[in-house]
Amino acid sequence: MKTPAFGIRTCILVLYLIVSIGGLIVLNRVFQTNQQQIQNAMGSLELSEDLRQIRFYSHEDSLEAAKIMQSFAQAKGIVKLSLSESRFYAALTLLIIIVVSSVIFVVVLSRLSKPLRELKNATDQIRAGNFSVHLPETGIHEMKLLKNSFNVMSRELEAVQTRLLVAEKEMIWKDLSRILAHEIKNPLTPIQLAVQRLEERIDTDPGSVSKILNESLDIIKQEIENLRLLAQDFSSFAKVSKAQGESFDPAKSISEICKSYAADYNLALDLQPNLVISFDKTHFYQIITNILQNAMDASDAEKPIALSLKRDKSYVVLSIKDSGSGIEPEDLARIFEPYFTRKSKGTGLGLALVKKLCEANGAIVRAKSKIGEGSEFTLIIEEGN
Amino acid sequence: MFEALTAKVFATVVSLSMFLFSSYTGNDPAFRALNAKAGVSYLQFRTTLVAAFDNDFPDVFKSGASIPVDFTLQIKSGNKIRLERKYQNKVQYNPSTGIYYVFIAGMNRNLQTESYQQMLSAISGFECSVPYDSAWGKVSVHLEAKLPTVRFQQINKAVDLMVLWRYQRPSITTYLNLLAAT
Repeated sequence: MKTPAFGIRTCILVLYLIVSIGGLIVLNRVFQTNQQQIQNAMGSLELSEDLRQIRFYSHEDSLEAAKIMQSFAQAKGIVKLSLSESRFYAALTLLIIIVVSSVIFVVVLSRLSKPLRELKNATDQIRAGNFSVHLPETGIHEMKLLKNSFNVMSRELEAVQTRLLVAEKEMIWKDLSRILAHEIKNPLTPIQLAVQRLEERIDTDPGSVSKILNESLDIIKQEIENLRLLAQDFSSFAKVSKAQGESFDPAKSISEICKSYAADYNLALDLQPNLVISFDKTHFYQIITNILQNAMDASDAEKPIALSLKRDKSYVVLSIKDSGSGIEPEDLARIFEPYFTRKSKGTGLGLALVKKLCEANGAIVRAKSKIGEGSEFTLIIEEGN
Repeated sequence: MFEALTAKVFATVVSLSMFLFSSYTGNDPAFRALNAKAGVSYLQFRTTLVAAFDNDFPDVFKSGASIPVDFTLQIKSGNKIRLERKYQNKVQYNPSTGIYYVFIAGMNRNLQTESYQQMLSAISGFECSVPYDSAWGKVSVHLEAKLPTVRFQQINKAVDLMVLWRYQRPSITTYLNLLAAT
């Protein structure tokens, strides 16, 4: 059981209550005792009944004596009544003081706690990224100042966030433009060179044009294909469709994908059969081919690329490990960012797409790498029925 | 009704404060069983207050001030008040003669006595006769006692004597079927 935590404010208030009410109770006890003693003493104060029997010399004396007796009896009665009254009202007043001070205590405590709770909730919202939170500037003076200061801070944070978002957008567009320009320029240069070569040959030696025509056309076709693939990459990243999960054996799918690469690359497969995952098959294909393509780009053709598939508790774990040069630690943290690449050819969208597709299917992708030893990409997918 | 509720709440608060913070005992007045007797056209009631005048009262009685005790009798059938009567017993002591002068309101009777016990018995007793109508049928008879505020001329101060009863109003209720009585 969680014990409630009491702040210094609560401790001070409780201490104040204990001291003040405790002091009043002690004081009341002292007065009550004193009054009891007085009352007891009053009880023993009696004018003897015999005084009434005394025969006075004159009628005036008798009247005077009667007056004294009457006065004494009345004073005694009044004193007793007053003592009872004061004892009675002292206890009642003390009870009222305790009740009223307890009520004030609870009210003050709640009035102090409420804005603090509001402030805590607001800071939680700020932490969650909602900078538009605004606190009503009510309550005691100090609390108003605190809330005002908080509101100023949240407004500034919101402004900073907006500026950052604009700057980020601008940066993304700049990056994208740079990448696009670079990627489009890359195939355009060979195309331009091929066309120039053909023009020059037509001008200088028209008879031998046929010799370089096929070669130039192949270059142009190849670069046009590269441009098409570039467009396709951007398009795939922009349009990740909603995952249509279906149950299949991942080992079979991986084997089929690897078939087309088996002739040119050294793929070492260790795939546990009869596992079932629920995943979008097209997404799965895109993920595997992207990671595999990266592995192939990173390592020499003869070096092995190990693919292992196994069950770990209720998960299916797929690992693709290459024996390439590895990724620098500072780059490893950014490899899933869009447009990040260290390759001479590439858009930097492949691994970003992998991450996006994994998220769409509820899977996790992790990467680890060691310079000189290679990189390993791990996919963790929940086992399906 | 609101007054009765307030009085009960106040009495409870007083009892609590006395219990918690005071050694003051005061008195715990209560009525003995209310005896009711139906005549041809009159109902006769009789009861006695007990434990009402034990503590502090001897000196208050002997102060020479006139000490009244109020009784309120109420007969209700259902929620309808059929009859309400107020009575005030009184006692006054003469310190020079040692005589108590008692007025018993219900019986409209005066009593002079030197005996404290006799005075106590007279002032504590309640006896009265009231007219009734058998058509009232089943009725509840409620009797309540209280002490009024008394002004002491010597100090020119009013003292609420209910303090001595710790603001408890003794009361008793009994039920009668007046149709059966006839």
